[in-house]
Amino acid sequence: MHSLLSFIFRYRASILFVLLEVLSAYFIVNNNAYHQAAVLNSSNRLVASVINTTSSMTDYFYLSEVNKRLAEENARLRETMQNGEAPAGSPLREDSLAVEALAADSVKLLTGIKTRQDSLRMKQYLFIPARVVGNSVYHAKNYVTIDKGKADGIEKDMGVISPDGVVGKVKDVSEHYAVITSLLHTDMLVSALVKRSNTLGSIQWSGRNPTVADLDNIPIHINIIAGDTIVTSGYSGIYPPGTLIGTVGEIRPEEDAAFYDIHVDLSTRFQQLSYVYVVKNKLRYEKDSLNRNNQLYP
Amino acid sequence: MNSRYFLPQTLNFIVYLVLQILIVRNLVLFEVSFCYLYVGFLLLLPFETSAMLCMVLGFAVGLVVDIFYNTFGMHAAACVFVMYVRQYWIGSIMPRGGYDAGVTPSPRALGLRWFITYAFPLTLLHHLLLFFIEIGSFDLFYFTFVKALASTVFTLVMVVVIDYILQSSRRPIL
Repeated sequence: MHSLLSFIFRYRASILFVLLEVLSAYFIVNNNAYHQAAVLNSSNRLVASVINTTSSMTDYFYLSEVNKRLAEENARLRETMQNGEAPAGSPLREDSLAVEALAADSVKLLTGIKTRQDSLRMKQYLFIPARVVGNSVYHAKNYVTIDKGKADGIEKDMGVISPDGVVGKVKDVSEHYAVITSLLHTDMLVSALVKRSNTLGSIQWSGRNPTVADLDNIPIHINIIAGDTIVTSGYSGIYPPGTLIGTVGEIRPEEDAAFYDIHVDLSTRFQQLSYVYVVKNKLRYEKDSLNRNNQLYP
Repeated sequence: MNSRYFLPQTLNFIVYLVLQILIVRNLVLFEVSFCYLYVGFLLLLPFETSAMLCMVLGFAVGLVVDIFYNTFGMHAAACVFVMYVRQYWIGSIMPRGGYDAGVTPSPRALGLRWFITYAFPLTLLHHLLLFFIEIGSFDLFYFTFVKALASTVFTLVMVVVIDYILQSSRRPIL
């Protein structure tokens, strides 16, 4: 017993070192895990209000740019309304939902029955506008903090989009703030479609350039050209299908590989993010539980 | 640590954290160079601070910074590691005759040259750990290394500047 105590005493610094490192490692792993118990990040009220105060000081410098972009978006929406198109599944550019519309058309033709319009379907997606109060783009794992939380109906794992395209997914919510895992986060995967050929792939950020992400899993036999539009697939129910992600930039067919190496120029300007929309999908739980009950996509 | 250090070090603790969180948090130079000024607080702890206290302080400071950076645990891990290494590093670069009592390892007390020798490897180690833990892979090894190196320079310049400002403003009072 005595020798044990003297051993501990002798190596107390090293023992403390190991303990603290293990504790840190536990925090790191826990923070990245799906379910997080403690809300010790920038969705915390005190933390968020400090970040909010500092960001509101710099906000004034970007006011004109923000105004311009909101005005542009308004003009775009007004145009869609005048053209008599139903507001698409997202407040984004009007090319958004062509795929779904076509699919719906073919269903009608096939069955020969005029399908009853489901009122819930019409308003499947709700958009909650929020102001960005904290944002980073140059880290390897970037997060966005917004000024809306549980009180405004925001829940974990909701999608977040901007007028330009996909932004990320809600990671944590407090009463009045929420932290979003940015698309610029090396662990973030978004299921994507090449719009022209309807090929399914996935978008992941490499951790380097905040304007470019990688599009993976596009097989080599698919015809893809620079400038192709990449949109969300909507299979996960997080983002409305057809939400813009970006356009294909550089394409490199890897030698002897089954898949292309594609760079996508992201449409969202992450460096100047100021307003975003949180996507509330009313049918999400129904879809999720159906998938779960059938043990699909575990 | 001697009790006479308690008040000035508590003050330092607060000043460095406030500067880090409010001012330099969003500062990024050339898209690769970050400023982790708060490391200065840990580097400038008095020589006689025990390794254990250093590590506990490193852990505490790291966690506070982590909360604001949404990186829970990463800064803490890097700080604890650097604080564990610090004692050995201080011992190995000790000038002949040792350090004078009551001196902090600051550029004003021991000269800029000595300070860079002392602080550069420790800061680089901290930043390397931090960036590689954050990205979680060696895929972008060269890029991440450049990021750490550039940030080390930025951080050290700020640490020296802030130390001069704090010391010269505080001398008449303390």
